[in-house]
Amino acid sequence: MTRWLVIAVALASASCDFTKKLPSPPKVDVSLLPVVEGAQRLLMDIAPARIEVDPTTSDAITALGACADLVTYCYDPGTHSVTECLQGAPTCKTDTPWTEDACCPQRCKDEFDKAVKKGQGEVDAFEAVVLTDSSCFPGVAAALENP
Amino acid sequence: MNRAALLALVAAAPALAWESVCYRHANPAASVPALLAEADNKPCEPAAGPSTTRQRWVGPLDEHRQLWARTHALAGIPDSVDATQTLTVFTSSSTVPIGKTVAPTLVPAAFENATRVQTRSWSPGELSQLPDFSYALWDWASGNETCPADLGATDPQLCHDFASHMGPVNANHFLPQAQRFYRDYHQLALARAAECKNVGAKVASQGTRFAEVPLACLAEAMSLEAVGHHYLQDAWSMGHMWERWGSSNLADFPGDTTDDKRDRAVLVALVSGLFHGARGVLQLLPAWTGYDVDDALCAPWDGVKFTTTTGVTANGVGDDYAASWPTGGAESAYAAQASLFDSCAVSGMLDVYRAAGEPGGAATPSAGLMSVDPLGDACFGQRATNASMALAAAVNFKVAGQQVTLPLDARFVSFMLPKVARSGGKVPVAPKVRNEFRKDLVRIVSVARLVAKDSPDGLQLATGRLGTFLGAKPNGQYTSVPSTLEPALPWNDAQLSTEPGQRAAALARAFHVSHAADLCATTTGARLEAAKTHARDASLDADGKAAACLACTELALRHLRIGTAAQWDTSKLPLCEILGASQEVIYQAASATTSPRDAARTWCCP
Repeated sequence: MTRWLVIAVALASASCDFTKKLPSPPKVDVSLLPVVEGAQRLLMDIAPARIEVDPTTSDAITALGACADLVTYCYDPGTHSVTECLQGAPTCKTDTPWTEDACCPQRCKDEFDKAVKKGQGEVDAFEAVVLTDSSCFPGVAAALENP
Repeated sequence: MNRAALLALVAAAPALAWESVCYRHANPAASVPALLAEADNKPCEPAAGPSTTRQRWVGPLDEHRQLWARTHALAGIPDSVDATQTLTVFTSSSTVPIGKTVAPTLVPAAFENATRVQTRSWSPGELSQLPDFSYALWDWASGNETCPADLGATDPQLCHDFASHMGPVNANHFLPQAQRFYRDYHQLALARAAECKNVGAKVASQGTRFAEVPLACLAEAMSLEAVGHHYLQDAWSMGHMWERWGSSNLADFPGDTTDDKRDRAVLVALVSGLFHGARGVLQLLPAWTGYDVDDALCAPWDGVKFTTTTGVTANGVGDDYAASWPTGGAESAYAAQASLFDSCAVSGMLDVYRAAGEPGGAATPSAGLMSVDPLGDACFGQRATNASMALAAAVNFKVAGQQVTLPLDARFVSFMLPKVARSGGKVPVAPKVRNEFRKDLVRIVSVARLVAKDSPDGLQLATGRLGTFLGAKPNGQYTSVPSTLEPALPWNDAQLSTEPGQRAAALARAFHVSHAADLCATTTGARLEAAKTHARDASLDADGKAAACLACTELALRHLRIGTAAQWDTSKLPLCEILGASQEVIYQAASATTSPRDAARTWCCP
């Protein structure tokens, strides 16, 4: 009896993918980049232009980036699908996801699901819905049109 | 201080390509081995613009020239073909600012207007670096003293600055655009080489009298192949085996003004440089001088590979790491890359040399090379694998021997703050552009990571799958005719009212011995008389008089029969007559022992 119970519990655990711990992105570390001022670091500098990095930036696009990394670091073909990674990502609780820990909006998850169900490949659907159109992500359209 | 002046004052970045160099040599006319033996190599100053055409592109880290020399040796072409050459160029008395001084112009003048004579020394192989210093051979022939009209700059130093002007439009150094540019130059080289053979056959009956003409022609043909070779070499640099965003025409970039377009082109070039491998830029940061920047794609990394159209997949390296390529069949992780390049480069070079009739002696190519179509997919179909492109989305360096990798992931790029130069210094771009920059990059690096995981050996990321960036499409989607194109052959000075005609004139006049037949055809009696009148102009200063006399002599010599219209020396017929390129003839009576050159000098300056 005990033996059968153990097997049943084991089977039940294996079938519940949403309980699996998904891989998470590593911390962004800019400590080796030269300091410009305050939190800003220098990445590249040539005569006509330069790129600095400010890890204290917090807006709709940093939130989009955080959501994207939750999915792209998690994705592992044959182990974790894009669907699994996106649906398993924490769901944003507010319309200002940049004030939260890394998360993906429920609307993005829903629209991604619809696209996949219509036959679009998972990578293509994630790119189209979340990374390109991004209208499911609060604040991105405004950041592009009226920053 | 205006923006242009500011840009001219700040340091330029090195080229993102196999390295090209310019050094100040005490004797710019020296042989290549002598230049290489010099221990004290001072970079050209300024590093861009007219100064670079007054010096030699030979010295440490001249990777493009070294790759040409490697090809030349494998092709078994006699060393004399790549020896230092000298051009005698007739110019006006104008000067051009170079840094804090001025120098005589190198812009070639018509024979009949010459008031100065300049000599220029180069070897064909050096010109494999030309696309990093000049927009085209016509630009080099003009001393880098003019700016292509659509660049929005008139200062020749500024418009030739790599970081601000040449780099932002160097998408043609990346596949697939590089193929088109190599093709254009290779076809020009072949056409000129065929003409060299034709000229050689016509002057052969004259013994050594005109032997310099086919040799000058060969030097020009090999120089054209060398310029094209730059693009073939870049096609085999790991950092260039993908569709960099953008066009070789600034006008193709989005933006309301030329400055808007350049801002975008510069930012696109910066990010392209990060994917390409940014050792050339990052190693120069004051805080990074102690780091060893080994940034993929160009630096050696186990996972960085390319695949050819025949399905060969092999490890690759690129700019700054040409020394990693083995020689003499030695074992190396990069043997396949080097061997494939060698076959393409040798095939192209031999095509040109053989089309010229091998005037320096028969080529004896090394064994083991494949004969391939240098214009085809075997030489331009290679692309970086998806896994390589994902590795490229990072900054890699070693600190105290420890490898560090900063992934350019979606969070990292969302923190980026791009700045562009303005009169008061570098300022953040407009918020709208900044957000477009960050959002595009979030998509690009995320797609790179997903696609590479999905299909690590695929080539989609290197063939346009990364999409647009700041409105710039992958370079394979631009088909506009480059604004800096070389003019169509033949090159002469008969069409000075058009920009292509002016470029052709600069080329024909700079390489006037090589283009003797073209110039013969456009020289009229009136021009010959004008040259004589100019040579006798009493108002010229001493240098002007000497130059006018020399230029007139050079021109007259090509049309001069010794004797009179009734009787002339048929054993000393002039070059234009031998070439069958002109009916225009002048006469100068002279003794039987007088050389044609002396007779021509007498005709011009008695």
